[in-house]
Amino acid sequence: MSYAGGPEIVSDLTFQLAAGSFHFLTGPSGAGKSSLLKILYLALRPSRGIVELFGRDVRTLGRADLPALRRRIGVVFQDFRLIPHLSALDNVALPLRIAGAKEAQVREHVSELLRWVGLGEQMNALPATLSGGQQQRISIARAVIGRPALLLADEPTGNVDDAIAVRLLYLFEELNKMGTTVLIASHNESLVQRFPHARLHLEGGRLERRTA
Amino acid sequence: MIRGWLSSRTDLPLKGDAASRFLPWVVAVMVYLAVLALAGALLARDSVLRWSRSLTGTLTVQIAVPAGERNLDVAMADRIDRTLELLRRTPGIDRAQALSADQISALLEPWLGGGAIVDELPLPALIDVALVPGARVDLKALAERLAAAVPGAALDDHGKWLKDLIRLALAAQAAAGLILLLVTGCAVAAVVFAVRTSLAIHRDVVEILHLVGARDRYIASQFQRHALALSLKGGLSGWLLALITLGGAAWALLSLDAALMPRPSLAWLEWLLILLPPFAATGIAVLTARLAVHNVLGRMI
Ligand SMILES: Nc1ncnc2c1ncn2[C@@H]1O[C@H](COP(=O)(O)OP(=O)(O)O)[C@@H](O)[C@H]1O
Ligand SMILES: [Mg+2]
Repeated sequence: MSYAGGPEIVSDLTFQLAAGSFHFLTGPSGAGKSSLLKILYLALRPSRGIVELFGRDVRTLGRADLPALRRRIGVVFQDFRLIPHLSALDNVALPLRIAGAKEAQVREHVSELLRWVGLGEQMNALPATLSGGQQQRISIARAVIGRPALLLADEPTGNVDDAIAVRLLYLFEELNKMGTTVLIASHNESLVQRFPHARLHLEGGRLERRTA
Repeated sequence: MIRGWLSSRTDLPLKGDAASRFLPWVVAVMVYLAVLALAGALLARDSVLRWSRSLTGTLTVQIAVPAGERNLDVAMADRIDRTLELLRRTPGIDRAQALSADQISALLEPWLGGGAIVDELPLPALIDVALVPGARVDLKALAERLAAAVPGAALDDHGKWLKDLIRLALAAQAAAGLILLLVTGCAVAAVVFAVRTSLAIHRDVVEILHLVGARDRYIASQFQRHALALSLKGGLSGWLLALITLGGAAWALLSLDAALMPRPSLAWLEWLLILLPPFAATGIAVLTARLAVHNVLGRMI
């Protein structure tokens, strides 16, 4: 795939994520990890090639088909992408509210999750008043609140210290145990090595599968 | 409850948008003009209806002052008598009666002022004719016979006067329609502009909403709610101002000489029509916002 007439960032990748699997996506900075994830969470269309999500060829998807698929995908963006004027709680509640969940349930689930990621005291804080690590945890909470079938996380521990990073990875593992397929992009070797999961390594435009 | 709903949390920070801050003003002006135009059109229509109702079934015969007669009063009286006689012999005519000098000056007073001037002018005689209700009288033949029998006698069936009035009312209605159309166009343009600007400003947020699975409908509903609140606010203000203006105009009209002007009044159905613009404007704004959002989002990925 390439950005607007630029060179191909990644090409000829063939891989499959089995339902319920847990993978790391590793590789040096600039290798194309984020770009690959963008294709998977339907923010980018591949310039060529075939991508199938939940058994559907994305080339055949119209605009109207996207929301339903995106609701099954939780995304932790590398740059968080929080809505600046919404509190931590409202940001995390977004996927539930969009799906039309009952308000009482929304508050209960969201505050529970926020406490779990250590933001029990910051529920009503606006993103701008929080540290990078705290914003990242809001972003993670938003990605997992709807129990997505597929979780795509782009450097989800890039802004937190190791203790919290480990805790967050446990959260992903919990989610995985409940059936969510997990793909985590990270260039943090030491962290990746602490968790025994399969790895997709992206480097020089090529993808290599490495078992743990 | 409505209040809570209107002020409820929105995912898009639309409230502070510069793009939509002027929207209530546009809608207020739109509704203001719409109400005045509507009221004008309705009043014109009513006046014509009332006049035509009071004028149908009546004719007026006017007898010019004979020129060069030595004994003016006698000559005039003779003409009036002959006219009356002819009219009373005509089938289909119920009543024919000459207006007294006093009645004629009363009619002219609003235009010429009372007193001396009217008394000194040589005034034509006027004969008020009432037709038998439903009777068909050949007015053209009657006019010809009158003109032949009495020099200076002319028949006026008010047709021209009524035609002019109707044309005036139609013009007023056309003007009102045009104003409504223009003003609606302006409001639609304002809403479209506000929505587009707002979507451009909040592109990031819209993209996030999309990525977490929001449908266009969800995003549009936030704009619709915003448009609803703003245009309702503007619409009701404009409406109130228009009513105050109408009240003022009515008051000024009533304190004028009542003989010249018809008394403004509207039927309750027409009042209902006057009530409509703020809500119609709100409906138009909400619908426009919805279409505009879908139009813009439809072109995004
Ligand atoms: N929006 C963009 N437009 C153009 N080029 C981009 C864009 N985003 C990323 N790139 C380029 O694509 C390449 C891969 O970037 P990225 O996918 O972010 O890699 P990684 O996440 O592995 O660090 C880089 O060379 C980067 O400059
Ligand atoms: Mg990246």
